[in-house]
Parts: sequence; C-alpha cells; structure tokens
Amino acid sequence: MAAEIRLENVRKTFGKVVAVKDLNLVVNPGEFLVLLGPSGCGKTTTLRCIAGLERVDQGRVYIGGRDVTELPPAKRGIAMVFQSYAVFPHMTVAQNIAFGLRMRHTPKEEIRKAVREVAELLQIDELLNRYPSQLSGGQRQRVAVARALVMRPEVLLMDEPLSNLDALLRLQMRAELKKLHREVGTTTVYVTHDQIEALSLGDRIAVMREGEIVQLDTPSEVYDKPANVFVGGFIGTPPMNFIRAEVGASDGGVYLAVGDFTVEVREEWRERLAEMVGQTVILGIRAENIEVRPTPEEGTLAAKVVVSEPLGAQQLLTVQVGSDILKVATSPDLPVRPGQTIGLVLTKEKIRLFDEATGEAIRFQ
Amino acid sequence: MSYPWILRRTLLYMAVTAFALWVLVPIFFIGISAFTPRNEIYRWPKPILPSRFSLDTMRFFLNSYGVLRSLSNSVWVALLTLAFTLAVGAPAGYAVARFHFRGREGFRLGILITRMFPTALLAVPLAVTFIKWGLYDTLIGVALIHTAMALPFAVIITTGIFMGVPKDLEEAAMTLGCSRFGAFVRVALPLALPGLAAAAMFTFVISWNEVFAATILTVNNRTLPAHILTTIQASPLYFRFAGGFFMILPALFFMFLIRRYLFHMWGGATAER
Ligand SMILES: Nc1ncnc2c1ncn2[C@@H]1O[C@H](COP(=O)(O)OP(=O)(O)OP(=O)(O)O)[C@@H](O)[C@H]1O
Ligand SMILES: [Mg+2]
Repeated sequence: MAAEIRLENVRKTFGKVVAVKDLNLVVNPGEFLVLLGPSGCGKTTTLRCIAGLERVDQGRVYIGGRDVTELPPAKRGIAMVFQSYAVFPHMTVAQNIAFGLRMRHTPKEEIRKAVREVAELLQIDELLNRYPSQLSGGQRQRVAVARALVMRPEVLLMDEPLSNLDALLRLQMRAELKKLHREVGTTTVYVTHDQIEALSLGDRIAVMREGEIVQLDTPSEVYDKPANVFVGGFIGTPPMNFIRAEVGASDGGVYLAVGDFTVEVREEWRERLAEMVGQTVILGIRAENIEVRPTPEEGTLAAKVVVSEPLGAQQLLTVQVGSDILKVATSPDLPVRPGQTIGLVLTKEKIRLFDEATGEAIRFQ
Repeated sequence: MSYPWILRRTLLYMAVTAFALWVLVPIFFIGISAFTPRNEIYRWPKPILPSRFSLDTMRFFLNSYGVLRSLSNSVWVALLTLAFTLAVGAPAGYAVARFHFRGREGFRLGILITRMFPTALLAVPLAVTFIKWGLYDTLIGVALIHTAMALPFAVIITTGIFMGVPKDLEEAAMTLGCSRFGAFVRVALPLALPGLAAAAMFTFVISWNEVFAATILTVNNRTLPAHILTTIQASPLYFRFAGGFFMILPALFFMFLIRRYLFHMWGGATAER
C-alpha cells in the first residue's frame, strides 16, 4: 500500500525563477515527511511535481519504484489535499468523497461503504448530504482529507492543509492527522511553513531554502543540530541564538571567547578547534539551554535584561550581551526587571558552532 | 455625510435618472402602443395609458404578410449563432482564462479590435464572397456573420466566468482520476453553466437585434428585423409599434435575467450593496 517516493535531480523553473533546484529526495514507504521552509522556497512546486500537476524540466520522479515522470496525476497513485481544500461546490459531501472512486468505476455498493467508513473515520458522517457552502472551514478540511484517503492512495500529498484554520482547531487537527497517519500508514508528504507543525508531525523534516533541501533529518536532529545558521534561525520559537566567539587557547586547552568571557568547550571538540585558534566562529545556542543567575557571578556571562515576557509555562527574556541580542527561557518565578544585569550559563553540551563565512555547521570528528 | 458628499450623490442620482428615462420612456410608449386598439393610436393628445388593453394591434402585426416566416428565420439564425458562438467562444474563453500562452494579451485585445470594423465597410465584399460561396440569402450565412459579431463578447464573458472557477478544483479532479478534459467537463463546466447561459442569452439577443448585415445578405430569407426594416416605410404606425415591441421583448427579458453577468463583464464592478 505505502510506496516509496524518489526524486532524482528534479528541476522546475518558471521563466527565470528556479523554483526547484536539482532536488534529490527519498521518502521511505509509510513515512511522514514534512517539507518545511519559508514562503517561496519551492515546497508547493516540489509537491506538485510529485503529484504530476507540474511537468519537471529535468530529472525523474519515481513512485513505488515506477518511473512516473511522464504520467498524468490520475495515473500516479497519489491523492492530494489542497491548501484551499478544493472541495467541489456543486457536489454534496458524499459526492465529493465518492468522486475519485466513481472515476475508477468502483461498484456502487462498494463506493457507498467506503464513503461511510472514511466519513466515520473523520467524523463527518453526519454531514454527508450537505453542500460545501453549508460547512465550516474545519469540516471542509475534513472532507478534503476524506476525499483523498478514500482512494487508498500509495502516496498522500498535503499542501498546508491546516493553514486556513484558527489556532485552536489547527492544534486539534494536527493531532488528528498524526493519529490518522498512524492508522492508515500511507506514505505522506506534508508541506508547511509552520515549524511547530513540522516538528510535531514529521518522521523526518526536509528543510528547504531557495529550491534546495538544506537539511533532511528527524525533528530532534533538525532542532538540536541545525545544519547551518539558516535552519537554526528558522526552526524553534524563539529561534536559535547566535553569538560571535573567538577560538582561543591557553594552558588549560582550547576555549571560546565571547568578549572577556570564556566559554568552555566539549572534550571531543578540542582537537579540531585547536587547529582554528584565532578564528572567529558563530556560537549557536537555544533559549532553553541557557541558565540564568540573578546576579553576574564568577564564571557567568554578564547580560543586561531588555525585555521580559511571561508566556505562561515559561518566561522569555530578551537580553543584551555586548552588541548581541539573545533570547533566554527561564522559569516564570524568577524575579527579573528590565535594566537589571544577570548572569548566564551556557549548557556546554548544547552549543553548536558555525563557520562565520558560510554559516554552515562546523563538523567535528 | 458632508455637504459635498450629498451634492455629489444628488448629481449622480439625477444623472442616473435622466439616463434611465432616456432609455425607458421610448420603451414605455412602444409597449403601451403595441397594446392599444388600432384606432386609438392616432389620437392626439396621447393619453399616458390606453383606454383599454387590446391584442388587436399585435394580432394584426403577427398576421401581416411575411412576419411569421421572418420570425421563424430570426429564431433559427439566433439559435445557429448561439451554437457557433458557444462552440468557438467557450473554449477560447477557457484557454484565455487558464493558459499563459504567448500572445495572450495580444489575443484579448485583438478580439476587441475586430469590433472596430464597421459592418457597412465590409458589406459589399461580404455579399460578393457569400454569393461566391453559395451562402448568400441563407440562414447559415447570416448566422456566421452574427457569430463573428457576438464572438468577442462571448470570449470576454466566458473568460471572466472561467477565471471565476478556481484552478484548484480542476487540479483536484485530476488527482482524483480525471483527465484534463474530464476535469473540465465534470468540474469547470457545471460550475460555469449559469454564466455560460448568460453568455448564450447575450449572444441570442445580439443576433436577434442585428439588422444591417441581415438586410444586406438576404433577399427572400429575411430575419424579422430585416423584414421590418424593409417594410416599415410602407407600414402603418401601429405596425411599427407592434414590430418594435416584438423586437425589444427578448432583449428586455434576457437582459433582466443576466444583468449580474453583464456587470461582471463591464469590469466586475457589481453593486457593492
Ligand atoms: N505558476 C507559477 N508561475 C511562475 N512562478 C511560479 C509559479 N508557481 C511558483 N512560482 C515561483 O516559484 C517559487 C516557488 O514557489 P512555491 O509556490 O513552490 O513556494 P512555496 O514554498 O510553496 O511558498 P509558500 O509557503 O508561500 O506557499 C516562487 O518564487 C514562486 O514565485
Ligand atoms: Mg505553497
């Protein structure tokens, strides 16, 4: 049922715009893969190339080992959920869901049964006789998903299916989509520019930028070990903090200097960093990996509080270190005032270093 | 509700009223006269409403020599025009709405430019050509000319209609097993149907009202307007009123039905309230 998707050197241009740039991607059978990236990075175009709604300029598309590059959407064994839902307004919910099966000439009895089943799965069995204009946005979204799932596709493609829903409903549907995928097990490619959605849904995330995949990894790897400054800055709320640091050496070994303050580095990195003494690097660290001390004690990085935002479960501080602005997450009980000077401790294990010129993560070992 | 605003509104309404009267008053008198007994038509001063409602004038008109035949001709020509125009215009409108082909803008403009040639200028060459092709004095010949006249409007209206059908819907149908053409037939076409009906009525009215080409290109097979035009000099006043009313009728009726789409065509500025 679930098929592998393989893109080989797929390129798609619109006039002078290269929307997808020689993309290589393998989606494993049954996997939930998220395409994540900022607006205009080519996510939709990639999805449409898989669906067959765009002809690729170059490269091949394989679904389930079959070369489908030249096949129309109807013959690719895919189903798609559109951002606009694209529910047919002149058909009832039942007719909408049955549409694909009717095109396949499935016997009437079977269609009725399949429609009923999928409608129950998505909890829209009460709405089968309504027209789309009589549905809410969330219900329409369910119809669109049901219409795709009823086809029992080898591959399910979804283009920002939740982006038109309000925040609460989005949260609820996100959980449901995840559950649905576990039950159905179809290979799924899911496009979004919402990184929280990506982190929560994806088995793996492909982070895209300007038509290329810059990192393809599990959510935790992408979050903890961004491949470059772009990924670190794009993923996470707040995004990763970046501070300039200089690699220094003393009798005690290699260290990173942030102004007058020295940051210890991990044992495993020392050898590689020793070759880089004197160079400037970018130190990346996430807000939750910085500990806060109420006063700048010995061995802490002194920082001035600019803003403090209570966010319920945590308190988000915006602090200034030299000329760099950092975001720090702390317990909401910590009493801090804007203008106050505090001390920061960076969790050594969570620090990530990037090349100053290219922004790429520095690889150790 | 400042003073200039009220002033502007007042001027606007006055202009609209004047314009409406300019169109409606003649229609009113033609309509009234068509249902006035024949002997009352010449009375002066003319009463606003006739003393009694009468079908006498209309009956006289319909029973006059050649009227019924030309009426049937007119209907046939209009239906043929309709068929030709939709067969060519709807696909053209769909293409302009959906595909970004080279010269699309030029095509849209070119369509309108065809309307710039006065038929009078083309009359003689057309008549000669039609005689050569054996189309002279045939209903098909007239229908072809009417098609040429109605096509620009048909293309413009259908373009607007198909632009109003989201592309996503057709693409969704394609991912669900339809071919491109299947998606058009099952999704775009049903959704465009009301608009296409409007375009059809508009086409019908254009053909129904067209008199110049129909007069020049026929001798025996006159359409109704051509028949009226050629006999009007020798006809009594009440015949003219009845004929006039008969000509206005479908136009009034259809225009009323499709006014929403006409607004659409004139730039989409439908009444905001
Ligand atoms: N039909 C088209 N014609 C011309 N350019 C296009 C077309 N579709 C996409 N593009 C361009 O290709 C690039 C990638 O577009 P795409 O829609 O794939 O982005 P996206 O990642 O889905 O963005 P978003 O998050 O805003 O949906 C953009 O620069 C866009 O302007
Ligand atoms: Mg998109």
